Amino acid sequence: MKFKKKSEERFMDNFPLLQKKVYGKPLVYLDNAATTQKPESVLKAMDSYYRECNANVHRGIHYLAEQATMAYEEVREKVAQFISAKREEIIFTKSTTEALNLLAYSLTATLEKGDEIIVSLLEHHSNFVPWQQLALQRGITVKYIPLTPSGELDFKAYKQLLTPRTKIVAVTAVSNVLGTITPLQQMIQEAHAIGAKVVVDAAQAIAFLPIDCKSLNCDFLAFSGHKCYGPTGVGVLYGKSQLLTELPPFLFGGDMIETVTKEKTTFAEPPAKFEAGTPNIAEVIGLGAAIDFLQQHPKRKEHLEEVTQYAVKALQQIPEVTVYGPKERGPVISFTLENIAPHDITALLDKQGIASRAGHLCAMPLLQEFNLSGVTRVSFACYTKKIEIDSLVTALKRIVEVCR
Amino acid sequence: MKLPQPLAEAQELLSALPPQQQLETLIEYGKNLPPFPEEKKTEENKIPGCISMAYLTVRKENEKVYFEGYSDALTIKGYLALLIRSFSGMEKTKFITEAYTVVKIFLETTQLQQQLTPSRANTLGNILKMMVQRAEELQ
Repeated sequence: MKFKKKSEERFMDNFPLLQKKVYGKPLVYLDNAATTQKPESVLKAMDSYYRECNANVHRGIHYLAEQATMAYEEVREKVAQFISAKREEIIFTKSTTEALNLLAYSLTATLEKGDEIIVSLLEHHSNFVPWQQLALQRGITVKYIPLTPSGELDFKAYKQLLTPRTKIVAVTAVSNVLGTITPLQQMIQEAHAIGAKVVVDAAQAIAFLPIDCKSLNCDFLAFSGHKCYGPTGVGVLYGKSQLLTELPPFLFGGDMIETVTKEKTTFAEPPAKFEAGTPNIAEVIGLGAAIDFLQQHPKRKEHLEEVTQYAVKALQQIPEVTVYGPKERGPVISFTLENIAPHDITALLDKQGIASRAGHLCAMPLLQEFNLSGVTRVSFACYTKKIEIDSLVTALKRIVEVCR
Repeated sequence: MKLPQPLAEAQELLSALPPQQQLETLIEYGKNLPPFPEEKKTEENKIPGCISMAYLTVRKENEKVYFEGYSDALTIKGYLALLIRSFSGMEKTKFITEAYTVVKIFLETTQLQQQLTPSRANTLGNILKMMVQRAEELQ
């Protein structure tokens, strides 16, 4: 997405919150890896749902219920098409975290003591802690893929970790701290060669990289709506049809059953089997509008790469800044400033109208690898402009001066 | 209740400043904090609930309390410096009785807590709590 000034302004108009001023200064929103801002179309879709067809989905035999069900199921089709999957392979969850917990519970239920799970050290806690905890409960071994000094996965070490006991490999597509893009295709091939299933955390990738589950051949993949311009409260779990059929359900309740008697319950086919209870209908519909938005902007990857490389270069020109992570990266930059605590940097940036994030970024094992207790992170979206990176650099130089 | 001189001066200055300069001024205060001995950076002296490293010690001399402190977070360091300058040398009983009230007045007037991240804002409370508790424990 390259914008000339006028079209750039028009594009920004799509995002009402980006017009906001904070502390009397124009908002520079660089916390997109935490959550993106929402375009008008997403807000409108959710508003229209409540105004025009609010009803509980599935089973309702009245006009509104049918309208709501149609709208909800259309999004399933849309998501399936967006990531090259079949509609029955798309499960709506409340978040990536919930999707990964679902998998951790259901997949580890089928494992035996001594089986192994491989997790990378790049992972967000949501793709780390569920595996670790379930493994502890069930006597399963967890092995960790180490990192190279620049923050890439050590592929050679990964291959050595794979054994006939490896049942699951859980890995992110893009690191939320370093922006590292993992070699998914090759990792999946290696895992499949020994019969392991691969779970991909695509939370950071979904707004950046094209995701094609079919050609990637991953077994499971999860992402959240709110990191790709959609609302919070909705996530997607993709699972290969056959695997979802075999997998035991995670949550029990309404909508996920076939028949219930006092003696036993039989379960519905996927995806219903994994969608117990009333789903977040408005959020799913909002996600549908977000997918439309993404598809209307096919050059978002190029734009994000351009902004990210510009920002890396600009930050590296400040002598006190250390930037972490590999050269080729997703739209995420974590850095430290000599002798200034990350939370101080973030607080001072905030007062200059710049939203960033500081701390362990839900990836403590990763930070421990770099002997860090915290970093400051800036992360970009399709609306991020180079002029905003210039503001960031000016603000950081001022912080260096003030804290000297 | 009358605020100690450094706190009163800071109150007047900070209240007049926009958020960005408030934080920058706080950081300036931290630069005057005397060095904190390495051997005192112990678990016992650690300020609880602070996400960065922060330490505090208290001693008593002639019924007066004296504080030393350190934080690797510059805003917290500034706040520590301000409290230490304001309360070091104060009569122990006066400090224990008045500290919470004067700091509450100071924070309300300056709205300093609003300028910090929630975790940092919590730390302000933890610092004072530790100062008072440790002063109370002094024989």
